Amino acid sequence: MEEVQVKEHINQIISGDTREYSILVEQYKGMVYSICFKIIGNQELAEEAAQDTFVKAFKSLNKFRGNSKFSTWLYQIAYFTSINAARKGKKESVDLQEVYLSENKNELETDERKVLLHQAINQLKPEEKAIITLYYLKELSLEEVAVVARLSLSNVKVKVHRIKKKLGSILENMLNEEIKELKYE
Amino acid sequence: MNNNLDKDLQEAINEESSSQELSSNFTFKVMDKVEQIDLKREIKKSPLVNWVSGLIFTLFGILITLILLLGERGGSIAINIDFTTLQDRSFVKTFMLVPIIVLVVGIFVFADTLLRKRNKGI
Repeated sequence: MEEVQVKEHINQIISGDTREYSILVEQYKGMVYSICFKIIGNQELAEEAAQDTFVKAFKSLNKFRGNSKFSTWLYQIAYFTSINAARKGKKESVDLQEVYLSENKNELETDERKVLLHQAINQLKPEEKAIITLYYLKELSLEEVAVVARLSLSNVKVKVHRIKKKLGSILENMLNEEIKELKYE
Repeated sequence: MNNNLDKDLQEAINEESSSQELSSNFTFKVMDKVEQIDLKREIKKSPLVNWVSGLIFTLFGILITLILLLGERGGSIAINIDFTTLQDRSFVKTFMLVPIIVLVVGIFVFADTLLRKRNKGI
């Protein structure tokens, strides 16, 4: 959907035609949910966060000035909503993630590196997980990531570098633990 | 090592899983919440306008009553300020009008600001 069309829909919604909002929800729900799910790591909580994102966006629709793309503005709301949701439901989320991983063990065993990486990502703080997720999402450019996370470009790069370093050491620890376990077996 | 991590992270983050499917009634749920907000807004704005206009009218009534009561007998509302009668009790009565008028003007400004804010919100 072109930005001009999006603005037309927004104007109609602001002038009272609430039903027009469903068009925007339909258009962006996939990406918003994807961001929420990747940050939170739990289907139920992510769907709730995605719903909250759209409700919050609706409430502040008259504050949207159009300085950035509507999608970027929406992803920014999704980003911060997800971080908050991840903070609140961190324990539950991690537990469910573990259940999810164990349920799909056979499928994931084919690529152990991926499993380890997922586990390592889940050990990051919600803010760290959020920024690394946005950074590696194919759909977002580096400039968009900076706008969504309310950071400068250089700040994004520095943070990503630090998180990658942290991930590296988490992975190293995990591998050492596995080696130890293998030695004792 | 770094390049491998980059590649793996990109793959891990962008891979689609079955858990990434939204429930079929997602839009319906969002629109339901949105319509509830809209209704709440409608309910919120009506009593606010009534309350403010009610307050303004009440204060007007009180002001007019006070002016009539404080004014000279016979219903005249002309105010004579005589500085030679500073010790007189009528001086206090006459000057009672000043804070009342200031209060009314203040309330007008406050009510106006409230209404403007509410209109912006809508």
